[in-house]
Amino acid sequence: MVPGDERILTHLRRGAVEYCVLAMIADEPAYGLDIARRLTRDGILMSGEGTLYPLLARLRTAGQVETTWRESTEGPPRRYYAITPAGQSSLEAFRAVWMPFRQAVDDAVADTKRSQL
Amino acid sequence: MNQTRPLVDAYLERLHGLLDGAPRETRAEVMAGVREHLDARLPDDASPAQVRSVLGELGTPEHIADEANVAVPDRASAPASPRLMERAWVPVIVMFVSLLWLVAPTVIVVGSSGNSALALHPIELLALLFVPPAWPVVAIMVGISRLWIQSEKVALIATLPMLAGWLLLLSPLPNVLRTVGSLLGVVTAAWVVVRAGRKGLARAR
Repeated sequence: MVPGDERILTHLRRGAVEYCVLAMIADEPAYGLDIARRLTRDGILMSGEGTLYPLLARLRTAGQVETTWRESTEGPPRRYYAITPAGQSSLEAFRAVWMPFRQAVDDAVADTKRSQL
Repeated sequence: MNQTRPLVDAYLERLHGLLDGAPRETRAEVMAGVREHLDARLPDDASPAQVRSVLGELGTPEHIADEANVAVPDRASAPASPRLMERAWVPVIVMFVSLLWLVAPTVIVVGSSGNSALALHPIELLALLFVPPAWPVVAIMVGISRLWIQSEKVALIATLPMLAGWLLLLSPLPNVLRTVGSLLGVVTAAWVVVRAGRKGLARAR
């Protein structure tokens, strides 16, 4: 990935990644490592696994996720992150806005391309 | 991770330093999250190459700290929840209340060994009088709080009634046996309470 791409992605991630995290834990709680792995799989949503933790801390401060502790088969108990009702409604709101937003960006970018031809 | 511990420690130390400007709670939470992540990712005998690769995937401490220092966007709809039952005072009170009712019988039993005038030994009286009212307080707090995992909750909630049962069980025994048995029960109960309580305390911080 060229450095310019990474800069664009950084900007785009800002408003979206936290909702991706909320969506990942919407059905069942997950622990940090698990969320981090899923998010960084293709390098698009998150570049380093570590940035997940400040993000989770922020979501928790905002009351959108909460943590519980669960037994682990290997090693000490793990911190699991679960979505709160506030997080759930925040995710719903994002979903409602995201689809038209994505469509609008797609259209706008496609139009620009066509007008340049 | 014995040989490679310095690598991990240096990373964590650097991150801790960089998080200087972040709110105290955020800093603690990020550190705990990253620490747990590393514990889960690295076996005890991880090679330096393995450690470097895991740290690489984690990203630089600077990168993480940058994310922590991003201004929080306006969230008018979601005020921070108080999370009352996850604060440090919860394990403190749970331990204090439990231990108080453990220590009180000990004092009585030591002071009254040899005295068998009462039909009920004072320790049993105390247990009967005070354990029931103290127990619901502990049980409710432990039950609600998310600081403990299931097995620790069971241990914290079951200890007081089990001790009361143990003391009653001992009541037909001769005085010396009863005293030794009671002390043994109290010490074991205290150990269980402190052990589980401290785990909750560590998580609250």
